[in-house]
Amino acid sequence: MEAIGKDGLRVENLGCRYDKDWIFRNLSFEVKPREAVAIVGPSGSGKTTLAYCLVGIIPNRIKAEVEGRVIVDDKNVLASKIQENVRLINIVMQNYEMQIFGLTVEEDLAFSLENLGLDDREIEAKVRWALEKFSLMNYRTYYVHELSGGLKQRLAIASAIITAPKYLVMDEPTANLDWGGIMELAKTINMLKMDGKGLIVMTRRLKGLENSIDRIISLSGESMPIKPEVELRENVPSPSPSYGSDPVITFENVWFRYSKEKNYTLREIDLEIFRGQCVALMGPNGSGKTTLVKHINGLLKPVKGRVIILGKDTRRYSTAQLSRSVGMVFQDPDKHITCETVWDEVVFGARNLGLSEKYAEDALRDLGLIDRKDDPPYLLSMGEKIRLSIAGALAMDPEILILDEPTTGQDERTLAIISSMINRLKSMGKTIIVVTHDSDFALSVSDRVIVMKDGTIAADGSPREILLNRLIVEELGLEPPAELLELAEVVT
Amino acid sequence: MVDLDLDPRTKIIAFSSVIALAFISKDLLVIAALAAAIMAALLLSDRRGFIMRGLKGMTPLLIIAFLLWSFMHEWSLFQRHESGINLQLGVFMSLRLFLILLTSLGFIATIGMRDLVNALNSFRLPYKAVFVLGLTMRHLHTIAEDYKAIKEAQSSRGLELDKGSLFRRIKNYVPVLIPLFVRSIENAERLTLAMELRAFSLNRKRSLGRELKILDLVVIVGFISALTLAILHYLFAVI
Repeated sequence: MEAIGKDGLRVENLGCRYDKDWIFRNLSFEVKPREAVAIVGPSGSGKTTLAYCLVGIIPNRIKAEVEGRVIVDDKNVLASKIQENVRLINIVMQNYEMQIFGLTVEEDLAFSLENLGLDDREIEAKVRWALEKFSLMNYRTYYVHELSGGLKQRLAIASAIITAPKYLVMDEPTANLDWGGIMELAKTINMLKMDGKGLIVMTRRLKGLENSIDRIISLSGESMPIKPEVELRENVPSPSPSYGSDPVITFENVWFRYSKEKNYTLREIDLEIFRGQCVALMGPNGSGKTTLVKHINGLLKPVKGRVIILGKDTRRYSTAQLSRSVGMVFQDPDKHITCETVWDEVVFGARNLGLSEKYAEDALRDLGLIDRKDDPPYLLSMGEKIRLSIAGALAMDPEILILDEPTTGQDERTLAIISSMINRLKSMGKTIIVVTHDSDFALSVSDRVIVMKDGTIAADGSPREILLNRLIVEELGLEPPAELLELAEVVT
Repeated sequence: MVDLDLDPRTKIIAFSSVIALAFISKDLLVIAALAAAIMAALLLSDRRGFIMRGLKGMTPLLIIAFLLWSFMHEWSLFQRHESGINLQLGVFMSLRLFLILLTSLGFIATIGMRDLVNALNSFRLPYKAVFVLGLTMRHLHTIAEDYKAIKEAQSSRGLELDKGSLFRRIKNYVPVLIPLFVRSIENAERLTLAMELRAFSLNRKRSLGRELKILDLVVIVGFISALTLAILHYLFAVI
């Protein structure tokens, strides 16, 4: 191993396990200052465990068996207290919202500095430096709950950097960002590198960060090439439209705002979606995608205009009544898991509506969870929980299925299961709406793409027509699909 | 408490003084004068809409207070037992209640969460308590958002929340509350971890905020002297 001297982060034969099986073992790598290294692997592969080892959360806070050493500037992180480590290496967790303590941006930046006992003048100077460095000056006095996800993340990074650690670990930083947010994150990473920091980025998908990352390391410690990133998805060319001509979802000049003091979130939406279609609903964060789908199952009612679902005007029906026809799968499955076993959880909806439980068993089988029927849901992995919530929606045998960001942080196996399930539902004449940022996924499953921007429909057409059109993709801030990036490389 | 950009500490002193005065004074005119002054100040502030709405909601309470004190005062725990109707007492007590409600409402309307935490901190209250208060305020939003999201998820699964008898409705909320509790506990765990990552310690030094302006001092001195006079009068009847 090449000596990196005093400066540098060195992982030596690191291993970690919670019980019998090693999550990883004999892991060795180095990170130098001004270098960004990505650790790429599917969800559940141990990225977060590694991240926790690198800052000493394991074994300090979370008990696990650890072997080997993590050396930062001649100090073994695993053998020192977290409070001491944070001046050398810090972390921005996947759930970065919990890392924000201040009521306002400025206050949050000052929090660590106050903890370290700096005097007022020094605190003020450092806060000002961070506000400028991370372009947060305009948000100085904002309450943190008023910030968008991307800005909150930038604040969490700024607050972690303000105590001047030499290294920063980021756990799945791109998980909830739209394409614009990922581009901003790439800029922040470059800026930190220029400042002499070393970065370790844990991610499932490198897309968008390729130019900021210097090396990729797998959890077995091997280096991997940055390009080409192989996407293991089949690109089935969209079949010619096989769906019928009777609309199951109709939006007639729909306007919506959350309160009278606010601007309209949806403006002048006219839309027809036909039986058997799979529609990918795309667009940047805050463009109104979730607001739009919440109109389909009646969680929101239009302020002006009307929404007709299978001939029913949503204003006259409650969400529970519409749930017989419209199944909705939310992004975060932990938000609705209530029951003691997987089976009870799957039939929860069907029981509420007094339906038979016959669809539940099929749904569990299709989604590969039938063997886990009697297990408590909290034992499932994140990918399994997502599949469980999809199964719960299918158990009510809805005509329309809405999936909100089903691809976020998913491993390839779960993505493959979701894709094949969507195809089967389509062949049964069900209508599916997928809200997603993932252009490759949209290309592989949908037969129509609708792009929203600022509360209106900015584009509507076949997936290839929209996602392979560079002008549209760039103007609407969409993630360019792999196919488009390859084309660009051929041209250059 | 007009939009004078008063220091939160000044606001806390003014608020506590008025509440104390409201309890100490036995004179109808003093209470009326205080209520009128505060009403005028609040009507001049930019939160008058909020205050008027609050007061509207409290009208029935004031009417009930007036009726009770006027007609039922002989059963009072606080007044000497006299028989008969005492309208003067009714007016006095409901005006006193009005003053207390109005002042509290004004206080809530004009002080930000962050100001309140900072002010309590600079009064050297135990840091632990102030920190927990600040943290609670920071997380109220998260919890409220979680609650809304869970409710939406469960009603999308056919759960009718607001139908049926009272008992039925309470039972319906169980599938909403379970995930909410689980999440809150998980969040608390993550929070303690995050605190360590920010080098948290309870012995930390906190900045005391800006210095008081002349206007703040004038307001503080004014309220403190009024309060002192009232106490002297109450105890020794010197003035």
